[in-house]
Amino acid sequence: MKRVILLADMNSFFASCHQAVQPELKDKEVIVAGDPAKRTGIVLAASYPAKARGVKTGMPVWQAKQLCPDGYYFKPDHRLYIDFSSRILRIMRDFTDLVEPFSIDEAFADLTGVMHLWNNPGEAAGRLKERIRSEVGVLCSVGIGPNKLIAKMVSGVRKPDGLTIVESIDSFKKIFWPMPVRELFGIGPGYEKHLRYYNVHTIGDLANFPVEVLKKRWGKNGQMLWMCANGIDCSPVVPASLDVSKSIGQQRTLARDIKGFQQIKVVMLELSEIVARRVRQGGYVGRTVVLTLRDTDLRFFSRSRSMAEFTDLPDEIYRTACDILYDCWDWSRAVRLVGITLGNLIKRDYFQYDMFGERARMARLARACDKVKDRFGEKAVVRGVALTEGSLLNNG
Amino acid sequence: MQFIAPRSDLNTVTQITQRAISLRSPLPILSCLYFETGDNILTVTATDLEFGIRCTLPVTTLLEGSAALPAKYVTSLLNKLPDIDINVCCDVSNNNTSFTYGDSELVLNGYPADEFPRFPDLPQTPALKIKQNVFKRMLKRVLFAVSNDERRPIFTGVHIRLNEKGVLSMVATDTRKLAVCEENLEIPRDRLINVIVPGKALNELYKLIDAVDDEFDLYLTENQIFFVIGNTCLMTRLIAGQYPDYQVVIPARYECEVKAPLNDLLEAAERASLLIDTKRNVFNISFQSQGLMIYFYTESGRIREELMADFSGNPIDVGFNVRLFIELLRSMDSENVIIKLSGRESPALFLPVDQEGYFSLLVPAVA
Repeated sequence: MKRVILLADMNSFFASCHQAVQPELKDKEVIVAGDPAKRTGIVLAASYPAKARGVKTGMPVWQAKQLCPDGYYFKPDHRLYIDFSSRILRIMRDFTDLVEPFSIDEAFADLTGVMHLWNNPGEAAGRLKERIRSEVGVLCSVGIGPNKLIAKMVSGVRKPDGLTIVESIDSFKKIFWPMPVRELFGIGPGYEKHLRYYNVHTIGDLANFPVEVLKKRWGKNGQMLWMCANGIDCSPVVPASLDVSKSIGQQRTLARDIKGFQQIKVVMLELSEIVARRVRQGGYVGRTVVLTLRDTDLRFFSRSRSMAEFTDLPDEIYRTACDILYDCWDWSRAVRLVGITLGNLIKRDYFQYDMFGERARMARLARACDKVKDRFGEKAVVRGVALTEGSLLNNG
Repeated sequence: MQFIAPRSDLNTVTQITQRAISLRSPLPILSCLYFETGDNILTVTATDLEFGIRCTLPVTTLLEGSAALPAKYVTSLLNKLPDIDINVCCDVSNNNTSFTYGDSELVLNGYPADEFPRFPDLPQTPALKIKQNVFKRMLKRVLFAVSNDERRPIFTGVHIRLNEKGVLSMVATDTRKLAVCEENLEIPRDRLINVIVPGKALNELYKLIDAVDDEFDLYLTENQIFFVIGNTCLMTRLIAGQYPDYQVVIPARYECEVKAPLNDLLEAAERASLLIDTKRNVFNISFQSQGLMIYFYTESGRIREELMADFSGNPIDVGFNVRLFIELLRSMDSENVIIKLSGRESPALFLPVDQEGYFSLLVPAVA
């Protein structure tokens, strides 16, 4: 049976959430950025009118203010976005149970099994868009294709509020093969540069390139890219992907760039606290800590380290992350994004205590904090470092 | 520097000293073995500043002097040379050292010998003389419990003490397992010992000393300890700090006690360990009136083992990390082991039967 896969991608999601809460801002220049009071914040999202005036994601706030001095600037409010995101997912689950969240503002849905309820995929997508618009107040671009890859790629064709349907791989080829290769999912500036040496400029060039050469050069990834260029993707929409976690992580693009171990460590401690709480809420313990950093040139850095014991305690996650930081990071590089992930998760069937009672004490402390937070909210108990300058609480 | 010595003797001393070479030393000179001749004695030294080994060897000295040669090359070279007398000669003008064997010659490029750090001097009198086999036996019983987590340096060492009654004790723990071993030396002492010695150095010492009755000497300074075994001297820095009092973690009373054949228990645990996977490393032991029952399941399979054992007290069901459990049992050399439990969460006590002054603790994994 021909698969019908849908991807809904929210337009200017963060900005749209603020507009939905304050409808008077509809069609206004809404910009979500790190602390607008400071000149050094970075634009995280901008509404379409703001984009029309040249504001781009990732741009420093001061630059955005020059382009758009009368815009409405907001501090990021992640709880609001998560709330909106889960409401959108709930609507999508009314259409099919096969809904896979892909990021906070994107989700796949597999409509193959419910197509008999609709005249055509476009009708279902239109109804979905309409419900998200009226019930949540956010516009989205929808792509429909025979697999996840094509759905993802065609969703970007018409923005905002677009609906694009590609029924077959042949029409995928017609639309995408003439496009430059960088438009392909998975191709960044690095691949683009290397592919240019092979005289591969368009997606079509890549699709018709001998796959063996790509495999030799990039291994599995090379084959993957070739399959993408040909519109081949067999991966299923997995609704359980958030029910059973392999890893739990938290990352934040900082409202301003930070330098030096001390301030990075403040953010790392706060992220460890959030990650550990989520790990405990899921009833997991994990053994591998991944530290992700991105510098101001947007270069990614990611290293992992395993601990001797499984844990769900923030201090142990934090200490391991600090070890990675000290061993692998050049302190003079300014950091724009910090992420901490606990991987190798297993269900918390057992917990290994130590004989001096240290882990038992830390576990009791964590449990007590959990109880306070469950009742009074996440900010009811915070670390002392939250009072310092580098804290996430101070900087969105 | 020039001397003549048989290849086999040279090979032996370099093989021993090179164990102190650190693989990731920032100073190139520390990747060298230091050779020094004087009065028909050759001294070979290696150190990473915190840990060092020095060996002496009688040779025919032709010219007194010294040389520093990369350990990697010297040791493998001496391994391959023919088994005859070797004439070793260092040219001080360019630090090159030639090894002449028969009519052939091999030259190694060295480092300036005067850059090599000085090996610390031994104190005048030894702090302790002890039989090698006694010390080796004690080390075997505690070394498994040493931690390798550098974040808490104290636990990477063994706490060695000699009290006024002449009782030598060793304690090691990584906070999950703990081992205590005591030996009455029956020689009252006026000089007491209370030091924390890095486990890494003691592991090397364990390989150096033999299970023989011969004594070796132990010297102490304020921050270093020296072990002198025949012509070999092993030096290491001490770990500063206060070792935690292990007495407080020993449970005061026990709910149940079993006496089981150690080998059977170890074999059962080793069979269970075959099933360990990334998701599960804790197995359960039921202590019950008929004996012990071990059970363990993972995604790969499951195992159930029943073991006859003498039991007294209340039945209890406890989880242990399989690997830690095996390591602990392997350090014991008795026929039977007594396990005492005081609850699901507090440390279990392991006592070898018929052996005084030795026990281990293991903290269970709590469900």
